[in-house]
Amino acid sequence: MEKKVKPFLLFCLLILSIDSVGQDTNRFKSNMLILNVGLKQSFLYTYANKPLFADGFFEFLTKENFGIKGSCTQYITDRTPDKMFQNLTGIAFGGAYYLKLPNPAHKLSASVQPGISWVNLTSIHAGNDVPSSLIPTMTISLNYMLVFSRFTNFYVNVSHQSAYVRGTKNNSINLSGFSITGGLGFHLLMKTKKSDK
Amino acid sequence: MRNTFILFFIILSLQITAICQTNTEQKAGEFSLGVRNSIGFVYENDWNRIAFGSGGQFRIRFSEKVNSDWFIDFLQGDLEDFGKRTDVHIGWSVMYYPLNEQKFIQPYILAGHCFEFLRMEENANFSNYAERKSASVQAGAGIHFHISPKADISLVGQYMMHFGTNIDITRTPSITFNKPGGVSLQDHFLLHLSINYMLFDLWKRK
Repeated sequence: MEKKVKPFLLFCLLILSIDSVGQDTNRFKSNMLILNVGLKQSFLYTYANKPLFADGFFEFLTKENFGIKGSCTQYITDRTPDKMFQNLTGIAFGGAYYLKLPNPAHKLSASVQPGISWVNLTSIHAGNDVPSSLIPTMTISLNYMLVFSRFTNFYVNVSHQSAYVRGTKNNSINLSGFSITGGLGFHLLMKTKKSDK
Repeated sequence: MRNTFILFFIILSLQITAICQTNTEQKAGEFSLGVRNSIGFVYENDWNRIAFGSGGQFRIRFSEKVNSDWFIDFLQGDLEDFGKRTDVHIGWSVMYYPLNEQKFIQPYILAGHCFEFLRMEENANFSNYAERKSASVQAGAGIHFHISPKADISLVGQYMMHFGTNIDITRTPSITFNKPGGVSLQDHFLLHLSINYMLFDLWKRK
């Protein structure tokens, strides 16, 4: 019991200390560039596969509550033995809208990103003669950032992705699923307005 | 029925041109860049073929009430259980805002023209395919949701009519794609969800 309570207390103390420190330094402003990298665990809706990806995104905040967002994803491996992918590389672009929260150390944003992915399926799913496919994708995500210093943040992202590989021996392969991503981010103010000083 | 659509399109174009003459030019020159996802319903004897795609567009605004949309879409869909179709649309539309004020929700109507590249191929046998290029006209309506003064999320539905050679499919004894030649019509209905950001003013007024 004690073992469970201690980490929880430590976590609460960490949050409280961030809350007290974060008031001035952690405010996101327009012209801020955010670069985040992390690991993405996906769960497909129609297959048992659980592929793991390296994931990264950048955001440029044009206003305090809106950012232009670009993402990239690279397949690493799968938790299931019957792997779905030989390879997957994806990019997506869109925008992120930041919800207003009372504490500037906590950032919550929602984003929509159309994109494309270059996919190689395994022969288990696509047949023996498996060509690469360029496929359209759509990602809708909710992103939480814990801004714990002036330049760095931790983030957790929950997203839904729609994607289909067409034309395999089994007709379409539905790659739609949801993902949980976590990682570390850096943010830097590129240009300071007079009003921000 | 199709002639009615052509007539509707011509009348709509003329009306937009006439309305443009009297508009203010407060927002003229705004250049926006955006990305979008599309769902396409393709008519081939039935509205039974659904495609999904990604794309992008830029907008150049001519006046307070008239905007233009220049787009490229990349869509893929199933041909029942035997093949796939890939559509690439490159085109433009003129958008007209009927309401005077820009609020959070801003409805609009649009009409325009595009070129299409279509490829149909058999599942798991990619050497068996047919391709065609065609031109089309489109018209529809949409809504901007202005989430910030420069950014919007837009939802639009549009009807698109292609003029080009048909690709006939024969399934027995094996799958073959034939192009009979001549001009035939093919209908699409498209839904787009896009996110756009106004980057700069092309006219650079003070």
